[in-house]
Amino acid sequence: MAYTGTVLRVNLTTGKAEKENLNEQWAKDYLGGKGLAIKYLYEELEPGMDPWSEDNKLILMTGPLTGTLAPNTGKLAVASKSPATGTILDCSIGGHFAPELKYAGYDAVIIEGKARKPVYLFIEDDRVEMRSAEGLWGKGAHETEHILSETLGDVITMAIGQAGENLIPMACISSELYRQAGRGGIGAVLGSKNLKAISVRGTGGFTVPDIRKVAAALNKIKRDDTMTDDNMWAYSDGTPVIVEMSNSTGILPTHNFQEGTFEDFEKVDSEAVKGALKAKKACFGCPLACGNYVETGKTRVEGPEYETLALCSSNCGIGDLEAVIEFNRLCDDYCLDTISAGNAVAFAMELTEKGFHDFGIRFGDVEKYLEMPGAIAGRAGIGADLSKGVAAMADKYGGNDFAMHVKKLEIPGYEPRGTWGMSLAYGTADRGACHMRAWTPPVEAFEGGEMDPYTVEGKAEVVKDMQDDNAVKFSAIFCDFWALSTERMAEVLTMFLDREVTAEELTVIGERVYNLSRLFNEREGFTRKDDYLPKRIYNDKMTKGKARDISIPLEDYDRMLSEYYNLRGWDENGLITAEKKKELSL
Amino acid sequence: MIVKIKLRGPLRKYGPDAEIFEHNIDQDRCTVKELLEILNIPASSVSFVARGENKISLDTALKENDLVTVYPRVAGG
Amino acid sequence: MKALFFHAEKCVGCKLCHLACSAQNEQVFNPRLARLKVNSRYKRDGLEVKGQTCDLCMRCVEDCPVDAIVENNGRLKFKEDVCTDCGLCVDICPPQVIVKKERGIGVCVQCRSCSNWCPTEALTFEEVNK
Repeated sequence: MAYTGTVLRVNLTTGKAEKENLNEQWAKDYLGGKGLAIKYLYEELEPGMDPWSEDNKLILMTGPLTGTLAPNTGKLAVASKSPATGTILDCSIGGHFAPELKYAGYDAVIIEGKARKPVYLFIEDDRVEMRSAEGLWGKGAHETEHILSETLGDVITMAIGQAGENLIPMACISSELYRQAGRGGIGAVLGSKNLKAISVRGTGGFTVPDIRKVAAALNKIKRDDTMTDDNMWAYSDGTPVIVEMSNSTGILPTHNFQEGTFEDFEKVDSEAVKGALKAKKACFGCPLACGNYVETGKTRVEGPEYETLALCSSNCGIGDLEAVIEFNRLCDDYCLDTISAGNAVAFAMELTEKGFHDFGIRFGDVEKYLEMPGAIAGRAGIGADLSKGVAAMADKYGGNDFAMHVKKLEIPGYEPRGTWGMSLAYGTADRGACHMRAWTPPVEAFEGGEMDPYTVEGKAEVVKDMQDDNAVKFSAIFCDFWALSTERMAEVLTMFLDREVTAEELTVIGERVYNLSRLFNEREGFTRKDDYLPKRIYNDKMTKGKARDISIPLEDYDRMLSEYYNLRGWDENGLITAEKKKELSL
Repeated sequence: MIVKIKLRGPLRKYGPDAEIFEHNIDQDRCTVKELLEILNIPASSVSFVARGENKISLDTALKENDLVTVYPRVAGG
Repeated sequence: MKALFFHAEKCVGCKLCHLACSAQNEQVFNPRLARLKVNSRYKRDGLEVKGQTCDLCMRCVEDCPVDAIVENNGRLKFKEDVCTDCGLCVDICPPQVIVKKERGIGVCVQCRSCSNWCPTEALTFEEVNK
């Protein structure tokens, strides 16, 4: 069976941990992962609830393929209401936690309430314990994991660092040191609950009918459809390969999104990262092994990933790979989202250089830059301002037009003026500016002439389709790095579910999931006005690279946004129409 | 006409084991698309090609001593 | 005689070998029931990659008091009807890759599921005494 059928509900206020049955109808309508986690949150969280309060919940959700031989299905959805944005928030974390949870006998863990004192949760099959974390509080995520492994033996752990404890709204959760549920302050939700870590050991297993035949079929798929030219970039290079590609197409955010090309890109591109590579590393069940474990004389990390290179290197003007690796390691240990942290540092640099406020840090200042993760996580010095994110910094010091965020979530590493579909992707992503809901560079900026990157024509449809595809992909829980078709998803799911799954059904589920996340946000008061980017994208033109002299006219963006709403079956204000809700059984 | 070529990602397997290699093209005029054919790189595996630091179209005619980089398809990001 | 060899420098720690072994031999997805041990974990001083595989040393065959494990053409065979569940083989196996089950044990039978699944050729079958 693909689901264990059991959800573990842990209430930190009462100290109770209880098993309950998985809602089968919801599992059918939303599959698992992102979709199913959002469904639980939509049903269980009161509208308008304060995400910092103990009424907020955090859900760890596996999927029907978790723990099987289906390639690239090792990830876990971690969802809550975001304390950074007030929107729905679902993150995706790799490593080995998800299968371990399933082998312990659970499809999901729902964490409620708030512990009176710091605790960590230890799950070993049927045994669930809340144990004192007072000896761990104040420690980084890395030390926390080492101590828990030494205390508990063979376990997989998710932990927060000082940033989560200190309720920094860009705090993430780390697992196996270098894998993160990164965005929207998901780590601060754990911190607000006084929950330092979750360790799991699962010793059980599960089976499906004809398991040997299923295994043989999956091995063929792995060989013929996963380990192909389309996907093996992940193994050969990993995400750093995108640095050069973005630079060549003028979409590598540089100096707080003032430019889209970086003169020192070669110091931080894939070839440079390969120079420090010690080993390739995979999540559970993944033949693509995108992880690059690197060591320099002074520091080490699994990474840096493209997003870190874009936001913490070029965007901060830091052309020094060793410094970026160290910044990356520090962020992972304190548990800071490198996308938001890199943005906050870059914004402080521009505010300083433009005379809005003197933070004492300028583009390229390696020494000050390396002090920032600690300062942000501990709210020390200028870190106190930076820790609140760029939207709050702009409220205090000005510079709203170039505070690079949507819905208070900082913008990832693709400069939208060089790939216009990305502006809509950021504007309409459910958790604020996100590149994992729709990622358009491959069809407009990168691939040979398929679509003109500098027009809004046709982009609404591309973005909508990608959002729906990814919504179902992250609900079935396939990693986004396997470029598999919906038909292939259906074929694999059919092997594990006791019904024939069709591509058409999956497309509907994707649309349903995306609409439910929108409905969650709608209930929190989000409307069209929240779907816009900072004015820099509409007004300022870059001076260098492939996308120089280009900005996205606001009227073009408005037209694209209206077209998108129309395709979605939402009204002009971005609200889901009654017909659409009915059609999707919302 | 001699052009210099860099292959990226899994496309490296279509060339010699070197960061940059030269290829002597036995014709006066050669487009990017034709170069890919000469090197036996399936167009479907290619994301785009850059000359120097700028993306160029598949129809661009190459010049003597051009340095081109061929990028793989990527997903996710 | 060929046995299973592990090449740490190629291993990415995906655990597909464990899962393939348990699916083939126990008809279940449970990496803890695999008849090999491959681990790639971050320790305080960096990445540690370790693998233990059956190298056909024959200790289990030699020491089993009731001859429940026999060798046949370079492959181990387990006879469940003879086994007394004493657990000796599990304890003495040098690479510690014999799996204790509710009834009986599991030894590597060279089915090659692990090496067939390994995406990086970190597991290979090679001559034992080369």
